[in-house]
Amino acid sequence: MRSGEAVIEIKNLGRVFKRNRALKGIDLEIKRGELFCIVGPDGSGKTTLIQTICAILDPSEGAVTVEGLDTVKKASLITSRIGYMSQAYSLYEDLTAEENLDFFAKIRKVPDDLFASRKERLLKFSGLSDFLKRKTRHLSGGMQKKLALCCNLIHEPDILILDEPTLGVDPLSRRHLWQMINDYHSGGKTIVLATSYMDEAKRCDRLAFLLEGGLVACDTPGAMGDLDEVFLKYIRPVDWGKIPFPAREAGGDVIRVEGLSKRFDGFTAVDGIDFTVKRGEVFGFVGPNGSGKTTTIRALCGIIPPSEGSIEVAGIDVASSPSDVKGRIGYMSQRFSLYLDLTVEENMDFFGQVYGVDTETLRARKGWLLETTGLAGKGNTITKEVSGAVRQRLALGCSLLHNPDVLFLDEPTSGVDPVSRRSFWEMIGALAKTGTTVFVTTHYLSEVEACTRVAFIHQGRILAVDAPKKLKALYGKETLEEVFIHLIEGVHDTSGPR
Amino acid sequence: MILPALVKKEAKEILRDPVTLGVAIMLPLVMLFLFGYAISLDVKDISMAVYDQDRTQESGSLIEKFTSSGYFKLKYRLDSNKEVDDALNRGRATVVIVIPPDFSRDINSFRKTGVQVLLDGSFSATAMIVSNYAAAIVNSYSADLLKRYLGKKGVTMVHSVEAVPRVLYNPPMKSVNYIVPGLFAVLLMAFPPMLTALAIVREKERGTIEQVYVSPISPPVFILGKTIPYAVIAFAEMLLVLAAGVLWFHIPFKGNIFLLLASSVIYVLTTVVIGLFVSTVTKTQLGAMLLSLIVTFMPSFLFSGFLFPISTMPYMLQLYTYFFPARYFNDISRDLFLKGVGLEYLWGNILFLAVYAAALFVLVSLRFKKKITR
Repeated sequence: MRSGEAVIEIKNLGRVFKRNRALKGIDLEIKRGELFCIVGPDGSGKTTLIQTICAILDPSEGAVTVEGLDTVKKASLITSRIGYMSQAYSLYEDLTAEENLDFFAKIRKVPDDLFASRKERLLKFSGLSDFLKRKTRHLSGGMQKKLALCCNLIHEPDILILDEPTLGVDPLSRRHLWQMINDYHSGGKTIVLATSYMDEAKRCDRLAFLLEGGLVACDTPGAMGDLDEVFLKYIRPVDWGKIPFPAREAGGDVIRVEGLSKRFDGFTAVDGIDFTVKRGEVFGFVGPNGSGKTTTIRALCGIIPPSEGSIEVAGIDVASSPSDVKGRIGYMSQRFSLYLDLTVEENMDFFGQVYGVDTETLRARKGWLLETTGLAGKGNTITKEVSGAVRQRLALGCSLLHNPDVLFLDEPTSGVDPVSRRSFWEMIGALAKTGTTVFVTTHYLSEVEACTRVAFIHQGRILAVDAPKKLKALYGKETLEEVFIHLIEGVHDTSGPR
Repeated sequence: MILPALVKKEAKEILRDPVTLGVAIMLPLVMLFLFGYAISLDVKDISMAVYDQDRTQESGSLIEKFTSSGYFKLKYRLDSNKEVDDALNRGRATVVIVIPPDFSRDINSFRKTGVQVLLDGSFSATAMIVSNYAAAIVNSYSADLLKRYLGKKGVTMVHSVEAVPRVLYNPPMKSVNYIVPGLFAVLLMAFPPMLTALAIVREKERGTIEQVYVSPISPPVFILGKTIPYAVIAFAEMLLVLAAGVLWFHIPFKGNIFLLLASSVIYVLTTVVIGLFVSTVTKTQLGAMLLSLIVTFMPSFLFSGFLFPISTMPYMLQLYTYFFPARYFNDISRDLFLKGVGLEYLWGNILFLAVYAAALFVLVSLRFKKKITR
């Protein structure tokens, strides 16, 4: 087996799901030992392509061979040689970390003696050794991904296939995952992965760019040039148009948090945090998975009562009158919280009416929203049929219909392509100019650079709050990502391994 | 070995969800008690009303004959035809006896007379029984009159033929003895498939199934790994309802206990494999629950002969009942409990269940393709 020979050959591949075409006319060769990356916007066919390579999805047209084996006729021979980490949850959440690892080793027929040594090495490398007895559902998102990767490395497959392995993972866990991926790749193994992070795509040997099920480019990152530019070439950025909200006066504190703590039986999620957010600011709230971000947002929105401390949002004491605050805020989670079986317009009507927007105003704002989502005249489209990027814009719009004082965004751009992400952030900026305050969490630290101020939270405590420029100057770092990793690792250096 | 790893993993997942497991085990027991008490085909304490237009000693003794039989309870005495209609319309009385004004005069002057027995026939099965009881009581009253008359004439010996019934298999004729053994078949067809139906669908919903697809697990091994733990749970459910039937409802058990347990194991495997079949054809847990209800619980209730005798069904429906395993186990269970017959009578049914389970297992294994379907 020499390196350089084609290990995966894809010829004129097409796939149709009922009425939807997911892939068309794909021709690709992936060479042995390559670190191969698949990029493309949401819904471009990345997952379908990956599942076809894994021989768990049959092509409608064309053929795929892995190690010279046809994915339709020799599926079982292929699956025994590959490792595949799906984008969906791939672990048994009621089993402990160790039980999952044992189970995957057993079904992969790993001999006991080999298993023992590999297990020890993998656990040490991934930093999961201390969490072996913990149920998988109680591991943080980053640890779950690391465990899922371990479960797919335990049989040391020649080909490792990863579908967005770092999606929704904090920068530190992302760095660990990449250390594991690079380490495995350095042993001469072939790795194919899909990602929505352009910095990850740049690290790969070659990358394929998918768009609407077709292959538009395949080359080395160097030859492709700036990937954001490549995306811009194919995806039209959205013009958000004129935001139809009356401008508010900026200045003054709109969020004031003092000594906020939240404990869940025996476990402290948020541990005495203080911060203020000024009206019209874009406030970034950044931390590893499980650091207390979501708990803080929920407390600010009045969904969960704080154990201690005071919270004031838009002049309302949230702890004492949690229901009053709800009309003054908007909330959009990473799951987009739209009703997928309703039409686009029914969703807008629902959210507008729930927040008591009067008919006249709602009609005007709906018109704007349909325009900016490119759905003008298509208001009766069923929501699940529109693409991920449009759905994200729609969800943002729905949370804005009642013109809230403060908009909370919980990982709003997770898994969205760079162009849509950029235009999303332009919208956020424009919104802040009208005096709406935006409170946002994200794992894309490059996005946070655009925030007015940013807070880093870890283990329920705030490590630093300031403007991005000042933070970078203070710690002498080039990027916020470096600041973040510096801060988190600093905590671990002083408090020792947990 | 992959199979033990699969069984172990499945068992751990089940055990770590004690609420579901508890419900799975307790629900059949709860249903056994509900149905065991609620469904009674025994007819007694029938509410009766009387419109006695005669009001004599003769009419009084006829009424007395009804109430002393133990089957009828005198609830109302009525005074007009309007009240008679009313009592039946409002459902106050199941049966109304109307005694004509010249009842005693006709008897004493040896004229033919009759009493009217009005019945609420809405539920025909009960009405039939009540009608038969009423006719028998009136006949016996009439025979008494004849004896008395002949006695007066000096005749003491009368030729009469009496039917001597001897009830086999369920001498006290308690319907609970018939219902409960049938319930074993129905309950075990209702709950284990519903629980098992979630087994594969859950992995589809969570996404873990994709890891199974890319692993070297072969479909029959995967299905067997799902079958074994759920069959163990189903067998525990079976033991529990059997124990409750014998110890609480005092259902007499006449047959061979090992034969019952052995056929239970086969039946339980059948029901679990049906659940797995449902699990391979559905995509969501909700769909699996509903489908399992439709293909298992409902037909087992209707077409097993548990409540509604198969022999009285239209011929086409009788053929239909042969598709449902509950029918076969219903026979096995009743025959073992009430008749105490042995393998020589039951081997056909047991063989059918075994073949059914095996064939369905093969079908499920073939249906379980290690490919994504959307």
